[in-house]
Amino acid sequence: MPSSTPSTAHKKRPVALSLSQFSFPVTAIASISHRLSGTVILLATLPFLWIVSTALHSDQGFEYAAHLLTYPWLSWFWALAFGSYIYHLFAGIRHLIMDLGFGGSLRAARISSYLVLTIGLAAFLFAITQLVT
Amino acid sequence: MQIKGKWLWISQRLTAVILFVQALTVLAIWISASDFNRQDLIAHLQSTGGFVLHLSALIALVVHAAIGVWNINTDYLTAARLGAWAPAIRWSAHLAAGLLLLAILFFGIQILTIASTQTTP
Repeated sequence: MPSSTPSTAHKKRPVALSLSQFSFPVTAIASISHRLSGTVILLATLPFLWIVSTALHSDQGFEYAAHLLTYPWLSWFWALAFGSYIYHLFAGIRHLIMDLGFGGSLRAARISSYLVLTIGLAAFLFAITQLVT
Repeated sequence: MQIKGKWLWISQRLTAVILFVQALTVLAIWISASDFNRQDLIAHLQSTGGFVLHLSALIALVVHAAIGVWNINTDYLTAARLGAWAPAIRWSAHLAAGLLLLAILFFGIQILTIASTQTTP
């Protein structure tokens, strides 16, 4: 019983590139995380400067600033900011080392990606244990 | 206002190194000082080394973030993604980031100024 249309015509074919269908290599995740963490740091800087300013104001201000770092829900924001800062720092060091001509091979780049992502995650978890009450 | 990419590339790395030194210094203080109080904070910001470091780092942060935000905005807020409104959206994002960075710069300078005028008993 021959069909008039080829069987492949019935298959669901992609009409446009859907990025969610791809699994990204770890190096790409490290790169986009570098950008994301930079953005988080940018948004956290002004609130953090306000914390420093409050801490400078008086002894009560210093206590209040310390209190705000561990304040419920707000502490998650500081933990995320700290994790982002440490991640961005190490991803940046990785970048500078590569600029100097080291670790540019695919294998080394994959290993260092896992390394900096692990350090960033560890810093985030550490900050949660220190700040979130 | 076309800035050569080479200088942006160099600035991004130079400022990164300054911010790295600041991070190491803060880390060293964090580890060594068991009970860091307000007087310690003032004394640190008043010391020549601390003042120069944090003022340099503040300027470095603004430059570093400006270049980073510029790169991100020009990569993602494109006509291919956003259509005809892309330039307006992109420049609004540039402007918002620029204003935020100006606020950070002035607030940071104010903090260093206030710290330098505090008297430690």
